[in-house]
Amino acid sequence: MSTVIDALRIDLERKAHTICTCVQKMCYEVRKEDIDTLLRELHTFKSLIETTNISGGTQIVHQLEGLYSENVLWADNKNDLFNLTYDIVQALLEDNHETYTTQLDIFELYDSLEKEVAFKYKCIFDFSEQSVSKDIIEYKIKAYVSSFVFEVLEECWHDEVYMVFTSDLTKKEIGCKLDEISGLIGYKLIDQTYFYLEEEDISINPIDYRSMLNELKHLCDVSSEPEILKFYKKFKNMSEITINALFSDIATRCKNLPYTLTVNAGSLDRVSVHHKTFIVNELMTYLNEKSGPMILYWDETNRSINVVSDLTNKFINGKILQTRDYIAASVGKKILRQNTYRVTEFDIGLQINVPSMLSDIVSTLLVRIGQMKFTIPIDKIERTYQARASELISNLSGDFVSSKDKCIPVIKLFETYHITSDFTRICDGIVIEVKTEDESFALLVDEILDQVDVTFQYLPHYMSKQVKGVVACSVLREGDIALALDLQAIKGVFTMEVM
Amino acid sequence: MIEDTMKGKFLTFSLDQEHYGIDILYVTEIVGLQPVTDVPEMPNFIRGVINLRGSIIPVMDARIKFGKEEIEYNDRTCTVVVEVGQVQIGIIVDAVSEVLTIDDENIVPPPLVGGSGRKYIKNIGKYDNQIILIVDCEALLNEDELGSIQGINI
Repeated sequence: MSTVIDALRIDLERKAHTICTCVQKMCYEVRKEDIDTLLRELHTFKSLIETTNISGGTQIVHQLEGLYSENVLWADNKNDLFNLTYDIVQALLEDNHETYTTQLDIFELYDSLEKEVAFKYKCIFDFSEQSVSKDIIEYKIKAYVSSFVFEVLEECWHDEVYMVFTSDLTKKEIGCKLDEISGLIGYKLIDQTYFYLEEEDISINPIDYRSMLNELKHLCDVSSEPEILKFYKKFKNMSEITINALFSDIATRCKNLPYTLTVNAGSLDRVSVHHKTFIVNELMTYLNEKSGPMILYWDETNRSINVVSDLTNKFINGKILQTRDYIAASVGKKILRQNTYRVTEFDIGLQINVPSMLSDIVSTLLVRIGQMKFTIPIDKIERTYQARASELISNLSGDFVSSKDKCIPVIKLFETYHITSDFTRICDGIVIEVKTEDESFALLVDEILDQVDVTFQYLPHYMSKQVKGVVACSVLREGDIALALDLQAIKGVFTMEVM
Repeated sequence: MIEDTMKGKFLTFSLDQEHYGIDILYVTEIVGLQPVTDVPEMPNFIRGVINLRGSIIPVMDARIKFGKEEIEYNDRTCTVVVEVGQVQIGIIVDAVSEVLTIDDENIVPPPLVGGSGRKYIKNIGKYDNQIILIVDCEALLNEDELGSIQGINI
């Protein structure tokens, strides 16, 4: 019992220390919620200790273990995520271009990151540090403990042993097993690093699990380069998997923008891992950019900054940023700064698909689907018509209408939003062909009501995050409310549905 | 000074056979039932949005949120507009009663037993022979709560 409590206390103290260190060293704010969470944990911890003195028993142990497993969800590597994301987020927050909508994206980003981190990479934590009596040892530890359902690495270094546990072992049990293993090996284990996986991770996402195992094995393959392993210890708080998850998430969120973030983490090797380069890639037409390619350089250790200007023989696998002019003209701004001793700063003006200024008056087409009214910006509409049955194509990918020698997808909004429509056949409704920046698609509506000039009011975040494709609404002349369709987002929803 | 004068004052409303109270500090206004515009994909207790003098206000049906049987709205049905922090929302209730001043000594914590809905009840107030369930607006209007899909049973 006391072992568990002590371990928990150490863990909590470390977290508190980490937050304080981050504040001091990284010059950024830690989220208030994190500090609150920490305080709550500490408070709970204290209560549990007090309770233990009175009642004791296994129930309390289980509570502590439950508390501990919750703590696992915000692992140490989260701080690295903060290092990287906070600067992005902070820059976004400071962006005057469209604060409110930007914040929505940020919160979604954070929500997603929380899940990604919790899912992808459960926890890494260290125990005691002691000296060793043997320099090098090769030992085979395989399923020594019945709960070790994974193969423990066959080759161990004198100062590093990697093991993979499943969640059916509690921390206390792991401690006991480690003692047993220590006895088996004949010396104390030091710097123990746990890759704490849960069964569901493996069953749901075996690729990640294999990647992690390969990552570990890969390290052991380079026995002639102990430095690599030492470096890995610095880097371990943010694995390649986590970085990939992070950046794919950002890229997903940016997919509706005229640029995307790409990361070539897949090409990272043991050398390049120290010099990870992220590239911002604009997909828009090249527009006489004078400043040349801009490459984001992120130094995980925050100890040095190297500006990468020449990509020759680098491990870069992505596309190079081509221009910032377009973004400056159409979106607002995007500035990337590299400050010594700080992580790279991003200023990104998110593109707003509905008017960025609340006071903007926009001409829209007012349409009806079932009992609901929606507005569609007129300037996005190419044409409206009632499709003939001969023009329609349906297959497993969805419904399409042939228009001007093109075949464009039809999004049935009544299905997307689960609205009871007047009809379900495409040829019975009105097809509104719209064009976003890169492609055309069609929306199926029941009726076109009017052309109206409106202003927009944004919906609260808790609403807009649930109804994809609608972030704002308008008050019509007669006092009714119409929901404003965000065409880019709708296309994104549709794409996801098709996938 | 304003807070002092409003301390201990609760706007009471009825829901089913029960009486609830909201700290008057959170109440912005009380309006009659307004035409509600549906917003798709919302949790069942979020009825939609209303146009309140040009402002878009989301509205929540307290009956559904508290896991009570739905009834038809009538002329006593009211919308209590409350604001907690940045969140403003209308709460549809059966009927608004009155503003009561409940002394601190007549306010007690809720019992530990009860459904998960107990988390929305901050305290229980006694006024004459009435029991007033004092709603925890901050818990009720927490964005995570509003984003959750289902109402709960008290």
